[in-house]
Amino acid sequence: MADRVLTIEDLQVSFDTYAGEVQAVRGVSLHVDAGEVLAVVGESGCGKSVTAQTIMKLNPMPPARIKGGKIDLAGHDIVAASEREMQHIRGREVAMIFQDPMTCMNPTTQVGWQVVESVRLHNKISKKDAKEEAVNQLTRVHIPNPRERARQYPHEFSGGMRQRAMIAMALSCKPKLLIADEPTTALDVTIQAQIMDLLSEMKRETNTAIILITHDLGVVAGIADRVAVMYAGKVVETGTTRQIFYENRHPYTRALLGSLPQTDSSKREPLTSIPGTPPDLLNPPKGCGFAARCKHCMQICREELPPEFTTEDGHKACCWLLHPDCPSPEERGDRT
Amino acid sequence: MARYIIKRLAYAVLTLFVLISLTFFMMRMLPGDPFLGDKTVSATTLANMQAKYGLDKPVYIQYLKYMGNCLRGDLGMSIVYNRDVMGIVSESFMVSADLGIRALIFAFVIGVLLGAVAAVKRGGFADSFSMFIAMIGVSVPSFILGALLQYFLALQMRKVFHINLFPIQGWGSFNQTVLPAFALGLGSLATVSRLMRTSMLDVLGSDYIKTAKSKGLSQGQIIRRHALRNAIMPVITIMGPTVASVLTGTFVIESIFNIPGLGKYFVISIKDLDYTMISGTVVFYGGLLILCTLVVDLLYGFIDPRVKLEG
Repeated sequence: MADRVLTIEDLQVSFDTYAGEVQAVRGVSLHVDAGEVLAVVGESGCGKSVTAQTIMKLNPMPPARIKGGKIDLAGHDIVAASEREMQHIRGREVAMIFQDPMTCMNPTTQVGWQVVESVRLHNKISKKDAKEEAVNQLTRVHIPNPRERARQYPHEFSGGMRQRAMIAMALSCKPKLLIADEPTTALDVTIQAQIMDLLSEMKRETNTAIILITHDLGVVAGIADRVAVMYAGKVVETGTTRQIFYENRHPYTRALLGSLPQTDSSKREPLTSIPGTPPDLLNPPKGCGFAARCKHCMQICREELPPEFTTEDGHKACCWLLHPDCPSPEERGDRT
Repeated sequence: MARYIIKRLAYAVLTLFVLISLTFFMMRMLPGDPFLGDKTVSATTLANMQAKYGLDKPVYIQYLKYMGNCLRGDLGMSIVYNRDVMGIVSESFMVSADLGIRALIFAFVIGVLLGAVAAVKRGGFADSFSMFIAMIGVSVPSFILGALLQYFLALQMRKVFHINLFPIQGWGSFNQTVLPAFALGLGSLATVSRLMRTSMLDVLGSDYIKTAKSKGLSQGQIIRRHALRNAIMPVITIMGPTVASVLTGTFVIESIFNIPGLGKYFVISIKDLDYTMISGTVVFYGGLLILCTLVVDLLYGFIDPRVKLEG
């Protein structure tokens, strides 16, 4: 087994709001190895971004609160780490790139300087060497004329170029883990592919583990080694990309894949969607979060949380349908 | 850049021209006569006086003459003080500007600090404290504040504690500037700190601050390197008009503290119908305001690289 970079066990994160406690993450367990890409997919509000930001403790606390669970990042106990310890971990052990490269860089400082700042924060090197290193980093992410570009301001960069610069900044201190929070959502499709290629290339070069947060399953198929599907603050299914795409066992995963537009379909058929809305995490349901929208929903799904069922090759899913005592579709009288 | 400045200066001349013309005709529409005060003046004396100041000629001739003089930098003689307007304005402006600069430094430095701290420690004691100060600054008129300062910090301090630190009135020593500068600056300080707080909160919630945090910067570093410069923009914007108005002094503060500044001429000259003095002060204030706005716009381009100044 490769080096384990990150292990999350039963992580629970809540936000204390005026309306009450929002249980954004309700027991998430994940792990990533060096040189591996884990895709975390799910619709908006399923807790994927909160999970990612909790790894770096970027959520303002309060209102956010880690209620329970463990996060082990390259030997650091993140849950117990103080803010000072986190400052050493951020940037050096784990780095992050964000959704909108347009707003993620300081508009009043030069791009090069922002990379230099990262470099100098975790390495004791001179200003001149740091500048040289920043130019090297910009070269590595294929920014043309890096020396001139380094002196420019973010508004002089295009969206794709800024995301490249963000990647350069994030990787400048050789972190063991890179969290990419929807890195291509704000970019147009041609640029998306380039950025994903760049991420794969960086992964091969540096053996960095990557957590890719996205709701774009097309992106996942191209780059991810493993996939975790999240719904209503829980991981409902994890497995290799192949398992998730071809041998999926959770109805939500199936519904998610089913709602992908089929480009090869010759018929003019409407896009499939998942009816209903995710549950309110202020009052999370007692049973399975997906029960209200699931077309296979049974009595037990509403009453008790489904346990995790694991196959021999590590494919995990939380669904009552997988229980050995579960009646067959014919017996249940399914609508499918 | 040079092109931009030249263009702005051309506009400034145009603005001043309109300003002078409007002022000139509007003050002539005021009822009364500068020479007809409480005293009765004989018809001959009145005619002589009017002839001396050129008021016997038709208004349009007076206007053209005044414009010609303005172009040469001559603002005329004050009717009431019988002195060169330019002389009076520049002399009293030095006093007002001296006081004003102190008030401005106090207002901007403390205002920016209070606002920034309030935003960083949002909801905490520092936040409540600075917003309390801001509330007082906005709601207490300067003449009440001035009088209170005189009563407590000058009069009572001398009487009760026998400390004669701040004189009640007058002008000349440093100690005499403290109370009026405080009274004059508190209003601007309140505006600045509220603006700074709002803008700082906005910046602290932005994505690039999250990026900075994810790099591993400490909160102090984030604020110094990334937040302050971006958050100060709105404060810079209001600096133009504030600087112009504070530098030219205020009638109220200068009267309360008996300071020989420019502020009183704005008010008294209208009461006295001192035509040359009215337009003299208006032209001066207008010119200063235009200059301050220009400086602020240039400063904007300097602080934010996204602002391009093109002619």
